[in-house]
Amino acid sequence: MKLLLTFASIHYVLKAEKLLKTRGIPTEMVPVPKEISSDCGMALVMAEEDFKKVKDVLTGNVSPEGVYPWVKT
Amino acid sequence: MIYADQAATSFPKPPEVVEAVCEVLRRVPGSPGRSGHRGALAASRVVFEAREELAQFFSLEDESRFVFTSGATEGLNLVIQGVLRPGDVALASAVEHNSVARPLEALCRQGRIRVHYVPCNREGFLDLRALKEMVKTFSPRLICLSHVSNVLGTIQPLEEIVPLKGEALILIDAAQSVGHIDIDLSQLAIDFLAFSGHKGLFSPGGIGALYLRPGVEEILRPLKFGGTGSRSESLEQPDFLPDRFESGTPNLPGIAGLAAGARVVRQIGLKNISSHERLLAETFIELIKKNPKICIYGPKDRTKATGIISVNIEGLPPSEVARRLDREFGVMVRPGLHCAPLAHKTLDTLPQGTVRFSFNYFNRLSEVERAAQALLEIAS
Repeated sequence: MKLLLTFASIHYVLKAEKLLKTRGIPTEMVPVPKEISSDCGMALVMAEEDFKKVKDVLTGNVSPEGVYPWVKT
Repeated sequence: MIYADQAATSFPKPPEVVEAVCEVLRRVPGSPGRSGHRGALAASRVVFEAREELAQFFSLEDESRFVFTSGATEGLNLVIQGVLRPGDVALASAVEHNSVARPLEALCRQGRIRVHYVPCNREGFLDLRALKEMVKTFSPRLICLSHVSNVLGTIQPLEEIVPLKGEALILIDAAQSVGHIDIDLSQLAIDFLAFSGHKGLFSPGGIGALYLRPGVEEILRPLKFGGTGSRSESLEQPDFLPDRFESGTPNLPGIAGLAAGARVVRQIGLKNISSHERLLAETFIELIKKNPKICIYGPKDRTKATGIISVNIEGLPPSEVARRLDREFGVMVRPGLHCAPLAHKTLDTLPQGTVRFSFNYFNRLSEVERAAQALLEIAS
């Protein structure tokens, strides 16, 4: 399964994406699904098994607003 | 043609800056943070990377401490109008630019705050003893200070001044210092630092940034409210950086130019820039001081000043000197008050002001010698 992380704004999406990329954790940037928010923002999708590593990397740098299961392929 | 008005705006702009601005205009469709399409995303990346460049420029970790503004004036207004509350006292130096003095005086005239000016000596240096006394007497909420005087080039010793602020917040107007001399934000407890891109960072006009010390954003009211691309479902302004202070479509080409200019400065090195500018100023002064009719203002010790030199020729109005420099010698300078009547009051050069020469890294020594020669001829 995959997880979707939302952030306060595009600034933090890009910051998280960069931090994760430098640690070799693959992510995919997708529009925030309308079931989560009516905002026009972006979110990051990643493998569930990477989540612990993701948390370690982001703690103290960027806090996600929400974590959701990502069912679409 | 000799351009000696670098303190007004820098010229020429480095090719890297021109290229970065054009690249955005040519190739980046979309507005940052406003959609998920690839163009908007590319625009968001331009802004993000520019913020990263500023963090790197100031050797800071957290790029979100920088808010883009239209220039130093907007940053200064944001802080002055955003932190002062009814009944507060603000202190400002006696050589401030109108970008600080006017917003303060406007609040004063509305009866909302009181302002006191900390005296400076004739070289433009702040009277530290007076500052200490005034902080004690008035318990100011905000202290505003030009890091480098736009009239005299005088560099205020921030490492001595900032620790004297007591409980006050300190706002540094770095319009004339960023890109010219080093500013150590990790060592100095500066709460706000406002600067423009088009002077020391070689960008186009209409772009600048404000640095906010961690925590101060909570006590700063935004100057502008509006669309940020984030939290769009809410009618309330976002409470997080940088969005809280960046409403409206940003100046994307300007932001790209600012980042490219900051990178150019980093590549040249601030040490090389300040030593070249000092060499230019020293050479210029050495040449013109031969004529006793030329009065030179500002620090005698040019290690404490940048490439800005104010002068007057006895018996000639500054506007006439500047006109002749331009018409007869092709030397572009700025005469008058330089938007800083307080500084000229301190210098006793009201109402005519001075003739200001300002050189930067891109001025050659030969240009400075020719400019000095032109001034000597006008004075003779």
